[in-house]
Amino acid sequence: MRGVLGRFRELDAAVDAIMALKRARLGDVTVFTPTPRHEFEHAVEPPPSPVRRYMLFGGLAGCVFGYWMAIWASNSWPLVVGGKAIGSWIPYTIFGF
Amino acid sequence: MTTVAYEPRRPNIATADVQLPAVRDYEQVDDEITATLRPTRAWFVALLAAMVCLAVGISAWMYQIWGGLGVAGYNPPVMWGVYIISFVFWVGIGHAGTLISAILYLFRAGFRTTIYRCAEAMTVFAVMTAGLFPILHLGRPWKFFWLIPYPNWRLLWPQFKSPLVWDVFAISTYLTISTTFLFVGLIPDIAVLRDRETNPLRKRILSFLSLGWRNTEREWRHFARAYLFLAAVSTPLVLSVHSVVSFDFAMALVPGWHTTIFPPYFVAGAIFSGIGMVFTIIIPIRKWFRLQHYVTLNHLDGAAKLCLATSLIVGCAYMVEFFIAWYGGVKAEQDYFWNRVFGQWWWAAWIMLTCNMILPLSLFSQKLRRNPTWLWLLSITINIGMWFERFVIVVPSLSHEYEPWQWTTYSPTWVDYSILLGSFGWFFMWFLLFIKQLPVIAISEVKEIVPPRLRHAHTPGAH
Repeated sequence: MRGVLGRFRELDAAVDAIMALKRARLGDVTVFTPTPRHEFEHAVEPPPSPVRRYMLFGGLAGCVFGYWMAIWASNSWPLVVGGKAIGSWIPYTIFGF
Repeated sequence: MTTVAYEPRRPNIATADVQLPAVRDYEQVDDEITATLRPTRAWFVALLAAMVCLAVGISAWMYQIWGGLGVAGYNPPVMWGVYIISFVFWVGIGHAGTLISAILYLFRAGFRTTIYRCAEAMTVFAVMTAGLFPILHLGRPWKFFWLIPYPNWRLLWPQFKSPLVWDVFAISTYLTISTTFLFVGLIPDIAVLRDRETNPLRKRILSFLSLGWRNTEREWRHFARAYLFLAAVSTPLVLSVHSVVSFDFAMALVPGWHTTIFPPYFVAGAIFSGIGMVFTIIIPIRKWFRLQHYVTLNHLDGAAKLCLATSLIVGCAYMVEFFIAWYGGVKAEQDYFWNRVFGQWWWAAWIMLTCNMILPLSLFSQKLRRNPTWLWLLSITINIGMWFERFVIVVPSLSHEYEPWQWTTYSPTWVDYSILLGSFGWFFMWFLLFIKQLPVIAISEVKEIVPPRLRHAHTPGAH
């Protein structure tokens, strides 16, 4: 892969260069930086990340699995404890959570 | 090329109000923090001492497996003692780590930046230590996996309404999240170590652990988001895990235990004890590694205020317990609390009240909050006081239930003490190994505090 590497000592100089490259539509811009800076994020204008959707789906799936496992196992081995229902959702919130 | 009007934005992490005037540039941060990884003779001596303590604990456990749980001083009805006390103690120690790394991150409390790595590692090792105690407390410890729901030929399942099963889930979730949180925060720092490493084998290991980190803006963006998500996921865990631990007691119809104040009381106590342990660890580290210009007195001052606040909450909880016992009018409850403070267990209760409620009031003094020697000494008393708090919760209740014929006493044996000593050995062994393999202060977050070099210097207030 071919490209051009630019090295900047100052943060604002690097941000200016990224914005100029974006305006000139000169292909992908990859920024290497020793610390995370919001200035670069605004200059690069990345597309929204799908990670948050994966997080939401994973969280909901895990929660449903927690409730399901506890209710299913309780129904398979139905012992009444403390007068609570076999499928007692309040204590099972711990597993869902 | 047009030049944009420039004003530095707020950093990603909670460093907006932190200043480290003695830290000038990124190279200095890399050099000084990675210098802490060189082993010294004192470190080897400390590691040896920790491993000897661990060996004592393991030997006592082997003796207990051979002789049965009776050698640990259990006599009906006091069937919970040092092991459950120590379990709650170590889970509590872990909580301050998550509070400092997750909740204070979300609240943008700047003083956490240089102490959070230590606190996070402490959390992982404290939960690893706590997880041993329920197993040590089993007569047949090799059956511990019966608490985990897994398909088996007997078609038996754990009782999901039992607080002991809740514990298994709460602790394993906590260990998973806190380990993930620690590891994610370490990735950019491991990449720094990888780039400076000359030993080929270590370089390969560090390359694998850094997941190919290259410092690109895209990686930083995803890193910051992942860290934020993990902080948000960890935050409710700080509250929920010790609430679940408190249910072990609050679900039982035992005087002193069956009360709704237990979850917040346990959570506040856990955070308080954890901050005590953070001081116990971070103050020697900043001295021995000469990191006083990273972990500044301002940071210790901020953590000390948090310690004072949680001490006041814990003290308030003690008072509320006494008040409710009196106001509730239940004879067994009133007798129990009287016995706790003025009767059989007065010495333990007064150690608890002195160490957790009275001595931390000294932190109202700014001079003492900024005195590392005093903070360290106070942290030792907090550790002792919080262990005794759990002693006071566990033992007096079981030894003074409803029926006078049940009233008894309890004294730990050498096996209990040896296993308790072994748990400190186990904890400090892991911690000492950690501080020589990975940076004890977050390199990447400290670098964010260093002001970036600018072509057009920004004057505050000039727009």
